[in-house]
Amino acid sequence: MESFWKWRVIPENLGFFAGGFRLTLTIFVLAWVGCWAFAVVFGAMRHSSRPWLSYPAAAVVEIIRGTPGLMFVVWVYFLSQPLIGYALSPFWAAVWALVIHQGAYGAEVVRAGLNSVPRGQTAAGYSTGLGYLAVMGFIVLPQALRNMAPAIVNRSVALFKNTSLAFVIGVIEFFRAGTIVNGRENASFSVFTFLAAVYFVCCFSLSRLGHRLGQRPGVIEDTTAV
Amino acid sequence: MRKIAVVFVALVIALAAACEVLAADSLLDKVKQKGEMIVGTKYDFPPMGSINKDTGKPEGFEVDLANEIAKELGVKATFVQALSKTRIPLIVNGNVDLIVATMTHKREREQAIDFSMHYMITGQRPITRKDTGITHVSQLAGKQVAAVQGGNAGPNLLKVQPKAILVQFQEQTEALLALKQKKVDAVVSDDVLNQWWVKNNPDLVLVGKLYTIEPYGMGVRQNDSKWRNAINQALMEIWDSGRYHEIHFKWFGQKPEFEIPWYPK
Amino acid sequence: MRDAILAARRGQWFEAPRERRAFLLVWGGVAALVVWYFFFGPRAQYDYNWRWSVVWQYRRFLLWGMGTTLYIFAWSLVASLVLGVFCGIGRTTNVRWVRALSVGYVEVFRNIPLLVQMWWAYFGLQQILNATLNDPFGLRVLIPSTFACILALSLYTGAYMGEVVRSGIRSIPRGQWEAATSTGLSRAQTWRHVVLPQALVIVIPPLTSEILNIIKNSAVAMTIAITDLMFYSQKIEEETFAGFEAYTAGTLLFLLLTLLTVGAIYLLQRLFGLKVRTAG
Repeated sequence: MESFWKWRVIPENLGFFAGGFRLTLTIFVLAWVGCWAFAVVFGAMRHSSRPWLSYPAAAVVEIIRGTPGLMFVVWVYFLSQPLIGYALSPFWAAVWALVIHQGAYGAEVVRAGLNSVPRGQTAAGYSTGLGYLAVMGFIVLPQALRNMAPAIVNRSVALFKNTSLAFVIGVIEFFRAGTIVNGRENASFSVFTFLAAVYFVCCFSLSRLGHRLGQRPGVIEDTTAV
Repeated sequence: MRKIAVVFVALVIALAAACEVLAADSLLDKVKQKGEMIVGTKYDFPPMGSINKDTGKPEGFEVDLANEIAKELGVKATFVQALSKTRIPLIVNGNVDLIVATMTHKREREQAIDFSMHYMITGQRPITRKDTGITHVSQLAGKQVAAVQGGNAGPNLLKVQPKAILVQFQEQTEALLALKQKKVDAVVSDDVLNQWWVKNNPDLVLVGKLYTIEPYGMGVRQNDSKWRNAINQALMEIWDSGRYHEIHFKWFGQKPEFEIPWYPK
Repeated sequence: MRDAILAARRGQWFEAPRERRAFLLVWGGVAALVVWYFFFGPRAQYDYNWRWSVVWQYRRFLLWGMGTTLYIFAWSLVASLVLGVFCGIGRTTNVRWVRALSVGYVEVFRNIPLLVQMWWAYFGLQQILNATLNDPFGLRVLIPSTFACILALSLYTGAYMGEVVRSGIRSIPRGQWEAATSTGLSRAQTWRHVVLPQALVIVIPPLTSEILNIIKNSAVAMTIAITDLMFYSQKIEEETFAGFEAYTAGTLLFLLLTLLTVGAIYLLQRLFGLKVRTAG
């Protein structure tokens, strides 16, 4: 039975898998930072009561959210040269694609978070003479962040899962490492079960954290499947 | 207000500086300026291009050839994966400078890119499991045959056997996996790969004779003769110095039976 | 509150001249940057002749692709809705093992990427079948790629829908349950006639976004040899070398599919005389 299920494939190629996982983590961390930067900017624009800021931001966010993630990764990689005149490497194309795509979803989270803070707080802040950035930074964001925390964690889990999409443009991250090993050894069951188990452990621990943060009143839900 | 203006001006200066690098005309100048050449190769096509299981880096005949060309030009080669279906877009869109990815020189492909001189000739035929009992292409009528999307293995098979059902995968490894799992009855691809597969998988067998001729050429950007000439001349240097024969021997275990279309200085 | 502010402005775009200046600076700057980049900057040196006619020429590819995507979408929709409803019920029941099973299902399938699930369904399941059925008995039971895709997509989306349905069920006040029991309805009847109809209607907005996600997530089907819209967009690029146009066409068609789905759900709500709820 051992020769059929081929579990030995996993320990034999552990170094290769580890290299792929390291790359997945790198993409995840970089994309996470960029994603939330994008999300904060566009979420704040969406939340603003100035129509000339909120409507363009809404259009951008809705169009990006309506595109499949895979298509976005392919877009950013192949069309980086015609569009911006600079050819991105597969790694950076994947990072930027994830930043923009998941950032659009994050913008919705940020907007919901900003909405959850009572308007009176902003008004009080302005009335004591603080400027926009001070009001946002000292009054609104700390409260909004507490409410958004579980949704942020959910989004981060989704971002981690979506790093696997980078495999179509040739980034040798964890999923791709799995398919390469599988192609060599023809041990689909063991390889994919191993991949699933590792992803599960990582995402599950992250989402448990989110669950714990979510046990408070006033938090917003974000459980979309992308 | 002033702060925004300062940021804006800084951005413009940064972009103008970036223009400097990209203002060179031929890819040859740009590559020499950067000191780096981005090469697209296959990652799923041993012995031409595959991923080494220990180092995780690409290796293969084409990888070595590309490294030699880079040495001739005095630059470093960086590798990026090129799938059959992404090879041409990668060149057209400027993501890579050179494609060395088992790409057949076809007349219709010349609409989009230019080719270097041929560096190898092979052909195509199906490969199947021993237990299917298929010995000729005509027996593939109505059967599921795997090919890679974007290559010309699929279309060539349909020309020879229009009744075959094509199942198109992204990479050769998946096609092979489908064959082994009995999802498909045959795989069509270039003979270089077929020979490798048969050598490493005793349960696979080749079907019939080669029914196409596939001369491999390296892909370069269109209308850039300076770059294309540099590649051709580097290739001829590699041939003259015998390094081509060494690399061929290393990967195929024999001297090449093929001569590149060499021309004198 | 924001609507109140917008109404108070009485349709004015700008509250003060300072705001108009800010608007011109921000969007004028963006427009100037775009114009400069496209016409004078690095992008200008790149020669790209636009060939939008190829989209019309190759429309049959796009139609075939849409057909496959719709086929996958239809089956996955039905299967994931069924799974989602059962999972949602299972999460709120009092029977211990049913609840554990539902929680387990949701946690497992939400925390594994869809790509891994699809490849597992296509290659991994086949290996199991080969080991247990095909090789010992000489059979040839194959898993077609569309089946693997629909299976993975339904299980994945079903887990998310289960959560959505659960939140809908939990929002039904306990009073409804008690009233139903007191009028003599059995448990199953209460579910069917009282709780579920209300719960599902309440959660139409998040359910809509999950349904749209089915369409978007189905794009990864192309990696297991399914000729869907994504596959055909790339096929057009292969044949015509017009990447930008092909991908734009594919993206617009995906957006069109999402718009049509939202429209269909809106129409269904009107048809059943429900108060229309749109996804926030």
